[in-house]
Amino acid sequence: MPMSHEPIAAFAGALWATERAVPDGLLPATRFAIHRNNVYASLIGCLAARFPVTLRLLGEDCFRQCARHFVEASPPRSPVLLEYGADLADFLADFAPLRALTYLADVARLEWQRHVAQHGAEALPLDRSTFAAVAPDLMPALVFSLHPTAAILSSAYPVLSIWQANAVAAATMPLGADLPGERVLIVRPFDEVLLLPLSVAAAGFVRGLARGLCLSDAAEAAQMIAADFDLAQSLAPLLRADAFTGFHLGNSCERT
Amino acid sequence: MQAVSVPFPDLRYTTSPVPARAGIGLRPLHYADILAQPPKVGWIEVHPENYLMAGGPQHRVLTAARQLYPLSFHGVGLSLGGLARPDHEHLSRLRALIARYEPALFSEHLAWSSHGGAFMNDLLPIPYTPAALDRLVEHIDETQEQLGRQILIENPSLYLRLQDSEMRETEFLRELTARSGCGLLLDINNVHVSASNCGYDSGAYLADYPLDHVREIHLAGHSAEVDGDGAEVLIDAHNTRVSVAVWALFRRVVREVGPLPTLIEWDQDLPDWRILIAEAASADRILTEEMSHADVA
Repeated sequence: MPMSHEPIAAFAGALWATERAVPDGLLPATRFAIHRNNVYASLIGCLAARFPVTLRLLGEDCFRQCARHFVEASPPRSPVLLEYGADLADFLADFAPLRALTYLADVARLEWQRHVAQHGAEALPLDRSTFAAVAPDLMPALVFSLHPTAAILSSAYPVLSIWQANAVAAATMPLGADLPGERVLIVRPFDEVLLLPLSVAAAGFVRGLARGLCLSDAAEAAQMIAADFDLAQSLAPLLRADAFTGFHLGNSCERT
Repeated sequence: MQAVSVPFPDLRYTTSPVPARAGIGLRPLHYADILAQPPKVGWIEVHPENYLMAGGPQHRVLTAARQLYPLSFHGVGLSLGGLARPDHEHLSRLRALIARYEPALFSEHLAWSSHGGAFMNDLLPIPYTPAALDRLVEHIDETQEQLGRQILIENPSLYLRLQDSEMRETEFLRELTARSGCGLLLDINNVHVSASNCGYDSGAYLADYPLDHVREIHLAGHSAEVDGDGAEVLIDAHNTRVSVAVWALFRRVVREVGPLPTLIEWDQDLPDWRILIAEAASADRILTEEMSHADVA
């Protein structure tokens, strides 16, 4: 690509140029390296802080090299760096040198979802005593509203176990190679992001509730996935995690 | 005029302006400290870009801190010196954040940071040319109109000179204030760093700088490195205490224009909270001493 004569365009072109070009007209030219370093170091540092477990799995040097490739391929499109890194997981999934680390992209997805939940919209969780006061015969027709920060990540890998084993620097726990895939509910009702493991059926149940199904219809859908799905056992941890903001009586569920 | 009784006054925040005292940049590492034992600083400053999220604990902390202190927003994302007009979506998000937190000051930089739709996250140098001046005046006009207020423009830390420049930075800033109506944020550490890196005298720079337009001062620490040619280069790292040379320039400025809101900026290798507060106290001491000096004179 020919270098622009417009000083700002030339400067920008050289910053992203992988061959480490230096634009004309800088005195002294060697100090262009300071700006190039500021750009990459600050963006890579932003990703390192946002994906600490991915970094731990790759090691500091390897993570920084991967992040540098990512920054070159997808620089921030907005000055709001809170929004930077949404597509790092997809990049890692397609990044040939990391192909053997099949689980890595899902770990990065979980870290991104935690970040999104951390900064997501506020809503007051459901007061559990209100729910406890509902007459038992009305229960099946309740339609729940999930907290706005709630999201489900479904992985073919033991993504939550991997995350938990690496989130705390001091803890290292060996994981078996044959662990099954895991599903996680991510939600931030108050200050802390909570990660809740879900069975396949429980994930189907929560997805049903998110679609607006009443309790009995969502439970029925979950029982189609696993016949032994237990409504009470699956609902209790969701209530404990403050994953709902409220409920109402659904009209379409009167038959129950 | 008779006092009008307002039945539901908006008492969320004090409407007081940022006082001519020392303030501190509030960073997440110090969130717990500022709320546990609110220090005797005059005001706080944050980068609004770090609060453009829907919710979460950071908003709760800033809301609580805002109830205790006057606030200043120091923007790092508008790329006013760039070729493209300021991003309208970003401006409208800033406007909403301003409505939420009511900062008394809003500042930005004499620099660019976005080009071709990509954001570089560095404050990059602009050529001091009439064409660049025209462009910057337009971008500041548009920003001041969209935000509905005067903004302050901060002098940069320069590591190199652009051969295309035809004007002195001070001349450029004087024209900029005259044509756009913006105010100035004088970063004294940047004056020292740029003068050292580009080989001019910081005292001569300040003698030519339009001090009467300054509404805020920044003080910060810098580090010394060696460039590719083996020469010393000062880096505006905001990672240590304010240097002796910068304190001396600060005293000189305060003596000349009187006390102004003065921020201690510390962004990397953040220190213990008490060290940051002690730096602010040092700035306050100079502001007070020079004020009494002026009273005697």
